[in-house]
Amino acid sequence: MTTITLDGIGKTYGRVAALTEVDLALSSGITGLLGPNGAGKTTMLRILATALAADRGEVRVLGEDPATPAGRVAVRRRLGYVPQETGFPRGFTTFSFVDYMAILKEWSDAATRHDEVRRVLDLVGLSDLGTKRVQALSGGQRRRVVLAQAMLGRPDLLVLDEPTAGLDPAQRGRLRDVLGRAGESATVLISTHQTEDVAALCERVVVLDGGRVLFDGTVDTMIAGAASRVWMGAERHPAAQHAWRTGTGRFRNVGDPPRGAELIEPALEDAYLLLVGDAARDAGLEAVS
Amino acid sequence: MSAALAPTPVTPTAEGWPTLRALAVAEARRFARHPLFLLGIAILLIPMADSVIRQNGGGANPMVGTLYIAFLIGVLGFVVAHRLTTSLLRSRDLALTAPVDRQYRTLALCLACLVPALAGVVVAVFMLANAAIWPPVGDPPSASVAWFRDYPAVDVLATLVAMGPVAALGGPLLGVAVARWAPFRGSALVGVVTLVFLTMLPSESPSPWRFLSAWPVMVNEYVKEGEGGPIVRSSLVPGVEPVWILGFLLCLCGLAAVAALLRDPEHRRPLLGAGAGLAVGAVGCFLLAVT
Repeated sequence: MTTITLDGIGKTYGRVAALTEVDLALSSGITGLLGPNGAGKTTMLRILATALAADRGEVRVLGEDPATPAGRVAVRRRLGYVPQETGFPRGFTTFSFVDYMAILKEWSDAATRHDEVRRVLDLVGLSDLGTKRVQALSGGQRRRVVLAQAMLGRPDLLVLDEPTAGLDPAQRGRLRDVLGRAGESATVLISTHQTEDVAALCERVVVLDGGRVLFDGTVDTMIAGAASRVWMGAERHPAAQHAWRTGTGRFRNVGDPPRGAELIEPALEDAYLLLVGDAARDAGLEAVS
Repeated sequence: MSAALAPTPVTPTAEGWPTLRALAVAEARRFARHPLFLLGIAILLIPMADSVIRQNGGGANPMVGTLYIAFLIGVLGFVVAHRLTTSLLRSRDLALTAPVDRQYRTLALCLACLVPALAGVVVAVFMLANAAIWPPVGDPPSASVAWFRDYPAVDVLATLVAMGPVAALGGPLLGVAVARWAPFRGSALVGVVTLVFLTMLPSESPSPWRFLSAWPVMVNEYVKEGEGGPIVRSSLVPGVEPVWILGFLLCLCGLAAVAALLRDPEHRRPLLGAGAGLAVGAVGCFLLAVT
């Protein structure tokens, strides 16, 4: 069942077009959103989270129209949102901040609210830091506080903008577990630069570039697009779009391989690099012609 | 962690009054725990303790205690309320995407301003109790004092409430309004300076305009040379009805709250109606007070 529909969405900041004619339909499950910096990912997530209105096109989220006040409130009641960057008001402890956010999410009964706050803090592994000031937490811990408030009330839609930024591998593993379980019933949209997170978690991946959808499909389909375009060699190949020296001392080359190249299985990161690189090359050719 | 992940029924949310009450309680707690508010209360305890130690019932002008309330709770409360109001700007997107909108939060912050008002009431009650136990006396004792012995109790009470607890309520309400309309860091300082200036300016004006102030001083204290040295007297200012000044100030408090709520587009029509009613009430009370 489709839970999110974007139809011809556009958003412009001054003269800069952040999104151009974006069409997208998402259903429950976990979708990864990839793209270079400035691709329009955060703008798209803010529109879905009702923090921003689109200039053009039609948006439907969980069957509601966020352009109307009633629709916005209806979406917000079923939404969990992790913005790309957020600060914290002074004076709050971890518990009191999540508790305050729970009140803003209409958990008015103190006893049930406190139970829920304890549950989400446990979920993100912050139970022991409930009495610590948020300002005194590390970057990764603060990120988990934001994630905890997003999980309040088991939302039907989770919009997460770089949720794994600043998390160590153990925390990321734990987060994958939490999000994987959430994705069994909810629609989860994750914007990230960590392709391995997308490969590990997502059934579907959307790549944005220059405010347009470059790719929309399954992770396997995207990886398949890079088949026969990744090879190992003793040196950086001049035809490679991207190449780097691996820990073995050999070079991993991504691009159009020469004859007889030692092809290897591509990863999602290779497919992403090729997709974005090819798009940039095509755009350059169009500009020249 | 496994327990945390075990399915539990989602609690139905409640909107309306229960949410407003929960939010107002949370904001009231934040207000009561704010270091600046606690600092004001701590400083306020010094003259209170001094008054008990001296057993002088507030001295030759017991209304001086309202100055402490107005400044240490009202003015500092302005800054506290401003800071609480602007604090969520740091988490703007989180607050913006919550179902409880900003106008609701503003209303909760206005209700939280009852905390400093309550503190003002406590201090006013202390002043009354102190004066009841050790009746205030002039210096020398023959000099008159503006207190219950010499004036109608309703006038003294109205003066005490207007210059004390109402100032403790009005300052913070104004802080919320300024923060909503000018949500930048320096606006608290600008607001405080403007508030003090606008309070002091009319006090130099001839009556009745001197009462057109956020903190109208309704008590005169003056020193006269007597045979045995200076005589300190205090009296309620003649030509003004303290009860109507109290009404005027309460209308100003309501106007500050309405101004804060009008920052958001929701419920504009009833708010404008309430604002107009309060403005008419303020003008009416002021005219009744001075004529």
